[in-house]
Amino acid sequence: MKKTTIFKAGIFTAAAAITLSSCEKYLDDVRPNPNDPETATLSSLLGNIEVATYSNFSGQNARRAAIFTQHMAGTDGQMQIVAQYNVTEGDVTNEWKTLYSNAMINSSILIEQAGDENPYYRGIAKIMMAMNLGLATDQWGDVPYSDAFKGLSANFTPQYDSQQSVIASIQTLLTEAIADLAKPSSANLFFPGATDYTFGGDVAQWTKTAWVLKARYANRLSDISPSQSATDALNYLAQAGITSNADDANCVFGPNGNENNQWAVFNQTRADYIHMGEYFVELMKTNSDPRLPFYCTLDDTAGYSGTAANDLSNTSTSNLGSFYGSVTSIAPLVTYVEAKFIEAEANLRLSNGPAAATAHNDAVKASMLAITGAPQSAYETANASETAGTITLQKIMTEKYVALFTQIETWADWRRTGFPALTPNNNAVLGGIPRRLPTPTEERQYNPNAIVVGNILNHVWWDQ
Amino acid sequence: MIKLRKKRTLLAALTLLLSVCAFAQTQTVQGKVTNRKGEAIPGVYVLQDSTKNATATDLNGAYSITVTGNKPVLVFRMLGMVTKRLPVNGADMNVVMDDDTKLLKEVVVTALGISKEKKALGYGVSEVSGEDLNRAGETNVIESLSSKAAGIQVTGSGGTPGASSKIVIRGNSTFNGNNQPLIVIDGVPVDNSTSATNAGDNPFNATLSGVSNSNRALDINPDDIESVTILKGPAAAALYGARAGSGAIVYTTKKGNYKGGKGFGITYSTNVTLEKVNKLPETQSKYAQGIWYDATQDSSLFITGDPGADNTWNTNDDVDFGTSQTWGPEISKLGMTAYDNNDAFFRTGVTTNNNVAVSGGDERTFYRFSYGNTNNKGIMPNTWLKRNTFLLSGERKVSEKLKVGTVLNYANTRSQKPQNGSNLAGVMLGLMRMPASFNIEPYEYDNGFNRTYFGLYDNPLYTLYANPFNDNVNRFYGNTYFNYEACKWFNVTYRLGSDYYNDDRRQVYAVSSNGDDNSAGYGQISFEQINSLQVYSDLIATGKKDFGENFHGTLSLGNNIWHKHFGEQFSRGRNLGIAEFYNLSNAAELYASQYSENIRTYAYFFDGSIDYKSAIFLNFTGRNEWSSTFDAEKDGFFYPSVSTSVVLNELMTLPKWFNFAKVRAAYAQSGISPEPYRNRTYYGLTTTTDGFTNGNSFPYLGTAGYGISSLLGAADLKPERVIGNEIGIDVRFFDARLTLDVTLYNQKTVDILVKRPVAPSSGFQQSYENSGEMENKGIELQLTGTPVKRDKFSWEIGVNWAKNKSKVLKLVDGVDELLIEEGFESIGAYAIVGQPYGVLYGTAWQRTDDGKLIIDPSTGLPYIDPKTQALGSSLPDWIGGIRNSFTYTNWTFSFLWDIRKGGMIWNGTKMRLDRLGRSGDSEAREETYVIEGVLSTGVDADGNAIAGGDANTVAIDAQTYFQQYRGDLGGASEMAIEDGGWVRLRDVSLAYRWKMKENKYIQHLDFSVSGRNVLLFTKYTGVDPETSLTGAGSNINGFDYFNNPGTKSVMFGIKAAF
Repeated sequence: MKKTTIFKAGIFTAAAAITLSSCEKYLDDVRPNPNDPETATLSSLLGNIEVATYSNFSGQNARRAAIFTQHMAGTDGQMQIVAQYNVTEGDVTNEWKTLYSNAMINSSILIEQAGDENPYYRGIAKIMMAMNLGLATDQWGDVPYSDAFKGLSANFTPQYDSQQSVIASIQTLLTEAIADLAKPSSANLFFPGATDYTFGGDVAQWTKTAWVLKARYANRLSDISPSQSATDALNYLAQAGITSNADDANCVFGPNGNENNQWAVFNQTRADYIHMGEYFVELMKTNSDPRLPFYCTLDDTAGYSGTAANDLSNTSTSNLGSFYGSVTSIAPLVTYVEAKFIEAEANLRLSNGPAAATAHNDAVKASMLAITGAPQSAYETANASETAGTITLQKIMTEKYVALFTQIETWADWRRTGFPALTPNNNAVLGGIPRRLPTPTEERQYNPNAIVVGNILNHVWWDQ
Repeated sequence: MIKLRKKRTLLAALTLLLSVCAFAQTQTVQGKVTNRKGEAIPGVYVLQDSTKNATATDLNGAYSITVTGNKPVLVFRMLGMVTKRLPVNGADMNVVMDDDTKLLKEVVVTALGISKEKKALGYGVSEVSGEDLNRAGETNVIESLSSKAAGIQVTGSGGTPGASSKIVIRGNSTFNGNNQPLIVIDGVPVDNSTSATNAGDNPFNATLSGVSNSNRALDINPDDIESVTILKGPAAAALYGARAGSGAIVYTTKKGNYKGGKGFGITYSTNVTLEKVNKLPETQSKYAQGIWYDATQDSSLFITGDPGADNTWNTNDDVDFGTSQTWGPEISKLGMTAYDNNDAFFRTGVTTNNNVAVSGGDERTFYRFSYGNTNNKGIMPNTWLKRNTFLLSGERKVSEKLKVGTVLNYANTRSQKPQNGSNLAGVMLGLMRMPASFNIEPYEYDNGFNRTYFGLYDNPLYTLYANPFNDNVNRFYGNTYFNYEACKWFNVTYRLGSDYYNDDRRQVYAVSSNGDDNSAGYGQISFEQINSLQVYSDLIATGKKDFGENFHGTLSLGNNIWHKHFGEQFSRGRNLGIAEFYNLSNAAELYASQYSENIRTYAYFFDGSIDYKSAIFLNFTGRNEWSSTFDAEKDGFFYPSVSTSVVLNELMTLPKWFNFAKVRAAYAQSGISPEPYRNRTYYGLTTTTDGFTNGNSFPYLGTAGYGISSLLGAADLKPERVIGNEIGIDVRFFDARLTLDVTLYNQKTVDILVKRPVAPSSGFQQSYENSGEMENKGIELQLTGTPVKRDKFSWEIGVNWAKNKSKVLKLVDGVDELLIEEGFESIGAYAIVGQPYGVLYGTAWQRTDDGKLIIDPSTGLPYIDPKTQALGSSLPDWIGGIRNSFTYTNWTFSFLWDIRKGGMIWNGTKMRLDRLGRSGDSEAREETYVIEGVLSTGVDADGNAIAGGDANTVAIDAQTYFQQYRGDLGGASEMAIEDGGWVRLRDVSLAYRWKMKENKYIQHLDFSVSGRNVLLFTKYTGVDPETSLTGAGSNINGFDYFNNPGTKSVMFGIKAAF
């Protein structure tokens, strides 16, 4: 702002005072907002949705689930409170907002805006919607979907859908996404690319992810319909064509401070709020698990240890290790390893022992490769040489628990199967490990249609 | 030379001729000028009308003047007295002059700079003299209004250099908008914003951390202020339209004059202020740092931070990260020393003020030039404020009809501020939590890195020296005006004002400081450039007409235009390559963001009044305004006011001792304009965070990402409307030795723009709607008395008292509670229907119907209520001030008591210090505690505890008690709510005026000594309860989370008038 500007503005103001004829123009000249646009491109919307999705799957939802499943232990601040199972309606609002008023609303806008002219964008947006909606229903049970994201048309009180119908919607979304992604590239005006941080616009990869997600949500109903859920899951996996860790869908982070892995940033800014969990570290130590140095740092005595679930302050133990805890570490969303474990579990449920054992062994081996970068023969001999005779649900779920370290899936798996057999923190405010999250404050306060649940020991529908 | 001599000869001849000519009609007039009591008035300016022939009365009030011409008229003029014009009617003329303070002629400056007779006003105004304003030597002209007028509430934000002060009149009128009054200087509104440095990717409320920024009225030199008029309600301020909803404060600067016939005068003043911290939270010095308190007091339980041999944190050789907790063994048992780190940290602040003013004029011209210099060294090392101000004002009567004047100000305000609040580099955070077992010095290692007891916090001394925040404001403001008096009954005024400033800020976080955004210790530098420009134009034509003998009318018509531009550019570099080299080029990672806004308005207005015999007045104003903030609107928005005043003593005969009685009533509507760009829903670069970190933001991996705003715009946006009703009386008894001014008001704001919270499942979090309603009802009382008035001694008392009841009437359908501004997870400031504005909202314990805590028998602790609730109002029940002034000959002694009753503060500091074992109370840790309450018998399905009949007997250890009951490790937020009321000796001053009767050059010398905040009585256990974490730029009140402390001070001053 230079003197001439002041002078000009002064002259203009004075002139305006005298002429008075140009009044409306005088106002119109400054009406546009210089700070924010009124529209966004498909590409910028997708970038935003992916980043929001990363936050949902690797931020507080993941830390909380990791404390519940005793992958980790809360040792200070709000993590200590989570470790006491003291999760109230106000503690979950940020995560709910990032799901609904960021990842999912923008997915719904992108689905709409992409339209029939941009099926690739639309397909990816539908997968994003399905993945985030799945996280919402896994944590909160009945949630809005069919009536949600309608604020622009002044619907501020969405009806809640039953979890059963939400999961049906997830399957529909994924089926539609697969169809969209199968369209020829000539059917597209614009192509996803640089803002698809996960796959760089590779629709074949997204298609595999969509099928595994379908399997994940089919298998989720293991308590509801044990055999149908297994058949569906295997059917979807058969079509997925997922063959190696290279097909994994991951959260991708970058070296700049605003692009960093949120586990890493959390451990920097909230040092000692969260440490490795004792149950998990001891389990791995017992098995001489070669992934241990990748998963955890050395503790204060240069060994590996975790903080017990009922110990709220021991910070001499190991921290999250460099594999998932560096600023540019990936965070897994949907992986080949998970697909193989679903395959093992579904086969076992259908009493198909050999297939279950094979899938289990493949899953463990794939995890070794993914984490340590090489096969680990000693461990694989001991833990990935199952046969039809030896394979059990406990083995599958325990190995999955180790392989899917930091992933929210493990909390859902524990709720469904009871494995691993965790001992709840006996110094907590609740008598057991939470099985859902409380309805967020804003939904209770501002949505009379909300189905409000405060008791986090209540089970969601699929957790029977 | 020859030429010159010729000229001189000519001049001499001419002079001779003129004097000969004049001699024929010359006459000498002499006499004495006295007041009503017969006391002589020295220094009265005596002028022959329409000439330059003038003199002044001497010390005995005597004058002698030689007049010439036909029917000469003498004018007797004296500041503070009613000017008299008398035709010469003989050689002796004794004159009696009347005090101008007699109410009949009292004039006040009202909205748009229009002067009005006070008795005509139908609404309440308060006036504060420049002298009263400056008694305690406050640097900030907002802070110095504190408790000096009824109905205004001033809240400072701590005693650090340039920390902002917030002022609210008659309570808060709006929820999220600006609740502070419009600040007007010499008829032109100026910027008084307080803006926090705000990075575009910062998802949090920037006022909760960072530094205590300045409100920009700080750029005003208090010494330049002649008087202040406070236009309290909508009726007084209605002519400012959509900027008037929170009232207005009109400052008038000193002007030159031709006082006492003296065409030139100089005043010089200097003062020195010494300042100390006045109050700190109690802390314990008995126990050392550590995580677990154990009665064995084993020395292994002592823990402190040790970054290893390399003196660098977060490296492989770190020995111990340390802890924030002070639950270790006794310091004496460890063979260690307990340090008084507060004493080592704070110092005596020193402020010097120097002001010089030159003023003068003649009959047609006056001018004043002043220079002011303020140099403040804060109570924390390496913090300071430097202000230099220049003011030039002048007016000239170009002709009998045309007056031209100007007021030009330039100010440069620079400061270096300490970190505040919820901030890992915050000074109070690091200092109050610092265990006494740790010596604050040295604050750095040999390698220049932060030496601290806990790797996550900065040593507070380190942060002062290594992480300075600097701002540098260059500001130019002023106005030029013309007044054309076309004829006796018609005049036109035009005023063009401008206010421009540039605020250049820099924040450095040294390598090894935790203050950077990621607490990574990599070093960070950020810059912010703020540009603000306002241009303001008023054109006012005023006509007067008498209707018969008894009715007089005045009508002004006018046009007003306003343009505002505000722009900020933020740039930041992270991860510095070379420590202590602060240039963006040295950063591995760069970020920039910008924000700007523009507002334009134009308006037409009228301001009229009719009076009957100067006894009954009817006033009416109206303003129709169009603004760029709203969608193009054909009709604009109209703001009317009507008021009446009836002066009873003009209509009836009152007893002799009853000098004056006036009743008044007013109704008005004024507005509060929302900020621009709220009538649309935009897309934005989102920052995604779960609240624990700064999250992920764009540009991300080299790309931009936009998401729809979570806030829906209001398509039919309109201004908020403040509807005010007020009535008042103004009475004076015993020759005005007792005066009382009472105002009752009822103000209601409707169409308050509400960020209606919506269920996030709608895809949005908030929606703008003009739906809120709030009322403020109150009473204001101003009483002055002069119990003693003798020749040499007088005693005056001034009392002001005000009670405001704020009540939120409506938010939006279906919503009863609304967050005013982002706060902390554990506490928020809310608008709740049926409750006062800004209620503190957080978690509470579950209680029985008769208020007893319900205790869990397995833990011995009470249960937290699953639903958060209102915990108390931060607004005071009432506020008042009592000033006593004693004058004895040339001595003046004055003191002001400032009382605030009630008003809750969330003392988050205390709760955290309890939890950390650092609070004074937590010293008592060798005992167990039984929390008073009844035992529960279980918990119902909703998580509510079921109270049994038995009293709690479960004893818990001290650490559990202080952490999980009193502290914020599980303790309900209600544990932090404390009464923030006070009684304080706001100022006390003793002044002596030495009149230099014999001295040709110096008129008088004034000596003064004064104290500020000398005494403070409060139940509040934290810092001085006049505290604000978020400062004047925020609507949050009553938050204390490691706020910087307040101060008390003593000032010595000398002033000389030449």
